[in-house]
Amino acid sequence: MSLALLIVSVCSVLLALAVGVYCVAAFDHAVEARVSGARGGSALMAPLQQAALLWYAPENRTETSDIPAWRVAPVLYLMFAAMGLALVPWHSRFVPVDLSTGVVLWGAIEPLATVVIFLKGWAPNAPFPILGAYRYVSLGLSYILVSMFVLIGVALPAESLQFKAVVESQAELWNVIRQPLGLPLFLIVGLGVSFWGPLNFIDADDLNGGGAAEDSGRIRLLWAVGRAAMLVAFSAIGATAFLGGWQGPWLPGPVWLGLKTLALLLVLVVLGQYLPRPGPERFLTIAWVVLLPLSFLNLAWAGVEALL
Amino acid sequence: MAVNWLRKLASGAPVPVFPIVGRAGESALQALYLSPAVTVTRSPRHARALAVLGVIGQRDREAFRRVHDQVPAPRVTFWFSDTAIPEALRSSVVIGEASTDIGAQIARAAKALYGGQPSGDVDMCPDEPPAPWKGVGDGHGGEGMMGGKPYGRPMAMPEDDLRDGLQLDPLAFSIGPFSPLLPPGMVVECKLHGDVVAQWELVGRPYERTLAPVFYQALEEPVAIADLELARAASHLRGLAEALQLAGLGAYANRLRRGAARLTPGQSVDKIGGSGVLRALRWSAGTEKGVVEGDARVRLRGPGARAAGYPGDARQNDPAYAALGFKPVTQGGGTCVARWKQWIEEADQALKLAEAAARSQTMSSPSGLVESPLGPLTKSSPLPDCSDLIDSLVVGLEWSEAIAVLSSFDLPAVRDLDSTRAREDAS
Amino acid sequence: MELRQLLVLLLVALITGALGVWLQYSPGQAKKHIPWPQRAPFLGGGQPHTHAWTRFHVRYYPMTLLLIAFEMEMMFMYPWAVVYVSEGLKALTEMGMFLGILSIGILYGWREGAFKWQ
Repeated sequence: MSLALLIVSVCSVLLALAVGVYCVAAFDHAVEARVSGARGGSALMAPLQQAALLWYAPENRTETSDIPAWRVAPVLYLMFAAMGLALVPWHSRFVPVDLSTGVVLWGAIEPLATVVIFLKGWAPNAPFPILGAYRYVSLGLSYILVSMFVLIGVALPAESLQFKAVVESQAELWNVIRQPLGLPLFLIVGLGVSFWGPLNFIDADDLNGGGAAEDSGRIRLLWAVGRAAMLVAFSAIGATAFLGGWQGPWLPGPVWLGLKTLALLLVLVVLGQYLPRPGPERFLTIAWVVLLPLSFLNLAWAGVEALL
Repeated sequence: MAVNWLRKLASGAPVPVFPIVGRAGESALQALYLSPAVTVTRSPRHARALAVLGVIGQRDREAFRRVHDQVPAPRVTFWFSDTAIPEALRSSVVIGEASTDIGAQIARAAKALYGGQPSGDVDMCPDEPPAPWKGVGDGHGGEGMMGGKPYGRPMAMPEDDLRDGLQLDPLAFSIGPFSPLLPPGMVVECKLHGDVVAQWELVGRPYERTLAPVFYQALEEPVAIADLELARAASHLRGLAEALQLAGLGAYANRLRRGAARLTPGQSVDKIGGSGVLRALRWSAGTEKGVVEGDARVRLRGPGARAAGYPGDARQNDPAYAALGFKPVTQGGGTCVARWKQWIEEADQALKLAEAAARSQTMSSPSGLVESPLGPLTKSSPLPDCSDLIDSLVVGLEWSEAIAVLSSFDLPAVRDLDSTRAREDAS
Repeated sequence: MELRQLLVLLLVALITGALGVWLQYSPGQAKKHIPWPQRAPFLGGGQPHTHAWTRFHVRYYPMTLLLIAFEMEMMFMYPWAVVYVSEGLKALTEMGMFLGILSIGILYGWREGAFKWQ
């Protein structure tokens, strides 16, 4: 691989990350303004204004915190989101990270993200963050399985764990139609791993901000950016695995992928503002008794369909 | 130059404020929620300004000093209260005026901080750890394996668990008077085993709630029923907004608050809050919990009692209401979701009554007994506080369920007409 | 070659990590002493009686056992997915049996209250 291709690959991932994070923040501001009826500032400037506000916010520490863990956790979270986004194929000839086991790497990123989220809540050594962290882990462990079964279902017709092959297997029919349960389940997991909206068990308002109750300053900025980045990564992988990736009639491939990613991002942001947070016990039961059997059903359907 | 541009961007965003709500501070808090210049945060760490709204009681001075110092410096303290300003803050505090939007006043004061200049707001507590630990005991304050106070606080000791007999550590703390999770002024000693509440002890009662003036007027003179019912609906909607915020729907909570500030007769809760307020609450935590049993049931009042199936409502005795076709609404069960449903249905009923009353210009008949949103209100005995009902209800519940149960009740006492009692705490 | 792909992944991770670390330590965050009163955990004015780092009673450990069983199954499903179409019906029935046996585990856990908190 030439040096030029290397640089272009890395830059494309970083650019997609930056644009995606900005879009998440803008969508969120617009949807919130619409729902709450406020005539707030413009949605286009809001992400930059919020970021600048957090840039100037002073730092905070607690009495006996684990400072390296507190600072490193948001950095690691952002890194995992970037690594996930790097797996997404932009075109049949341009994939930043074209691993033959891309699905496995994505599956490894999700539980590592859970660990890092827990670390962030554990580090400040304060009651509310630690409650949020432990509560999050119980649910985080539950829906990781759902995402992996759904992605394995997508890998079946592709006969490969490579994301490029998954997109190419959707040439006749997109997976969202071929395996209808797949995309909704994947989006639920996306909400969970980015602890967004209904599945925000760690930074919840009923814990006074939970894991983020003791944060101030740059850590808060980085944590918000990491969350948005994880949403972007989930949307991009969802668009790749279920919505046919770069395939589409008139526009060039990467533009289609960008549009599909933005569409999924909008869906995730809207769900975040519209759905309430269920009680942890109730959601745990639902994840294991409803969502997981649904993902088995999805897998069986995919299996039968692949053999026909 | 780039730094100035960044500063201008930062000034464009709403200023985060942490409110300290004291006695009679509720209306100022609602004004802050609706102000576009500020965002109300749940934690002082996320705020640049501290807004003191309402009168802080004498017993909560220490807690106020602690929360004030927990807002990261440099900060701005905004004083919109009758409490005397503490000595240390006298030079740096920003005094609020009631004439203009207090949110805008706070924002103006806080934006000066982005320039980097210090605000002059000093800490009120001494700069030392909770217990001395440098060089004490093992060098960091600990003694032996788990004793002493390492880094200033003791380690937790194991104790038997509620449910399964495992001996693990409890998490013990007191939640104070200015927590957004509790009614303002309520202090609780809490012990958690994991996520589950093992012990909940009320240490300080919440401040009395100040109702809209129309309820106090209705005790003595005829008042337009439309106004009375609009105020009742507004109060219920604000309670629902708090419950929605705890369920993670902050945008919907703000929408309800905005709607509550601009109520007109004939609206419906569905239109104001978006359809599905009840559906959202049904999904959230703690819906089937919080049933008051046994002897404590007699202390339920107002919507809480009606949600448990007791159809008592002071408006039944009023012939003006009977003329409008009023019948009390009740639910069965007395669970959290029943109480929320009761609020929604009473708010809907109140808005319909207001519409009918506005058309026929009906006035209420003063009888010394008024049904307020918290319960029956008389001149002689204001509603007492019933926060100790919660103590037994919440043990064994998981944290989010416990907070949901708390938010479904209207616990505080109601402030009576005699406002001189508030003055004696202010000095 | 795979190594080149992994190099891109590594570069993306390192650059993002460096960006994150720079954001936290960049100028504008003067290294000043944070006073002890500010450091106390926020409890609305209340105080913690102990450190929060305790032997926290997580109540969902039966659920984690179930999780480990399913994780191991997932490990087997990765290579299974690649050869599935060529192996045909045999592969479907084998994995079906595996999933079925583990689903009985879920049912058992549900009945035994592994998903409940109290």
